[in-house]
Amino acid sequence: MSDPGHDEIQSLLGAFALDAVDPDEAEAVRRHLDECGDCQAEVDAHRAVAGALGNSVEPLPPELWDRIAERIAESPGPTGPPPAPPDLSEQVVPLDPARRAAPARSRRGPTVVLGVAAAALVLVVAAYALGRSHPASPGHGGLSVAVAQAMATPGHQVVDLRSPDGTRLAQVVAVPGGHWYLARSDMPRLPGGRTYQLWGVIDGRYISLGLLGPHPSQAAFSVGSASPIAVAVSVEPAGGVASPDLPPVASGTVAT
Amino acid sequence: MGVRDYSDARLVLAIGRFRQDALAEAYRRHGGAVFALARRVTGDAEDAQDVAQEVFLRLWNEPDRFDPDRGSLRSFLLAQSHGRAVDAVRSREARRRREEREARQTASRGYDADSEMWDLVVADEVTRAMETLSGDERVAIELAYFDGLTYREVATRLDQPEGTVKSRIRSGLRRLRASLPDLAVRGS
Repeated sequence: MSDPGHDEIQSLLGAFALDAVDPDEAEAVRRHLDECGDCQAEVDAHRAVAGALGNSVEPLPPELWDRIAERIAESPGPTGPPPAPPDLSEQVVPLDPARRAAPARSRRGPTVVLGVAAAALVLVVAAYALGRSHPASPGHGGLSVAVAQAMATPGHQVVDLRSPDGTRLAQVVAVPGGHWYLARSDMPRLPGGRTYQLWGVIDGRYISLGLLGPHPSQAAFSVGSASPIAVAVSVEPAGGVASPDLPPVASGTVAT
Repeated sequence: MGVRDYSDARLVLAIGRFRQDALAEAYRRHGGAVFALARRVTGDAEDAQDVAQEVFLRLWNEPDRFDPDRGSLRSFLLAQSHGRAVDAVRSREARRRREEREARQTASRGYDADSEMWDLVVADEVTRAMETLSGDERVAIELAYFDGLTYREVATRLDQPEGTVKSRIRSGLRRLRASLPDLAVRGS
């Protein structure tokens, strides 16, 4: 379908807001909305009305949150053990640590030793220690617990690492005391033989903070007593390099 | 201040910062509505669970897609739920199953009573607002929104011109908007 005119697009806005247009029409409307604030506002208004029409509530199946929590642990974004279930007031969502821990153990080698620690508190403490003792080693189950702790630490700072075009590709959590974390990464998986390498800009120089592997999700690393003014990620050969050869794929400034 | 006290907008900010408790709270607040709409459109509890799961995973992975200036989190999540539910319904297998089910039973259209007063008020106002529509507008919107038909399919079903159905959906939504003054954009 050739790109329809404004009037034709406008006539589709109601049906579009109800997901009731054909795929090619939907695509044409989406393209138009990117450029037309008025039509976007109309769609937003229609969707709000539609939301009111569809706004009923049903009791949630108790297993649904478990499924979501497990998928969060597997998703390529932030990884880690599933969160505690929400308190659904009238609904009791069973929490079964043993059952939840099982897939995490099989998925992530380094956490096998942690799996025997059934008590959640032990898991938290052990994971935190593991993170600290293995700087810049990605993919540990339980790291997200350490990340969550870092987020709760007074004085922590979240640094967005952005590509040159401004897209946020990763986030680092900086905690006073020098224990920092790669908390989230949307960086694409690298082909074989390459790794992401993390750098701190310290005293005007790039200092390696560690290798993140070809497809990082979360990692712990230490900056010691240094105070990097910026953090950057570059793509390097698998063994890493002493100083970055190529411009960083993502970088962010650390507030001082 | 715990996540229970967060506004929806703040909750989404916290989700962007990997706060799993914030996602759990968003689920607690809106999961029932997301699931209910998906179930109503798909007519299937299993499909609805898949939809709800996708909606909350997407919120987790791409919280930036929610823009509080453009509407409430509930509206946003319901739009996501609806889109995915419609995708499910439009897949051939799902449609076949749905038609089999409909042949066996009359689809339940009742709103489930919800403990939250606001939802009850909304349902009541929506019911009254729907009564302000012409019969043609109401039927077109219901077939499109709740049965997941495209406007072309609605036209075929009602034996009316496509352009007419398209206009009726749009004019009906505008009329509903006018009779639902501020609730449609209200956050939780």
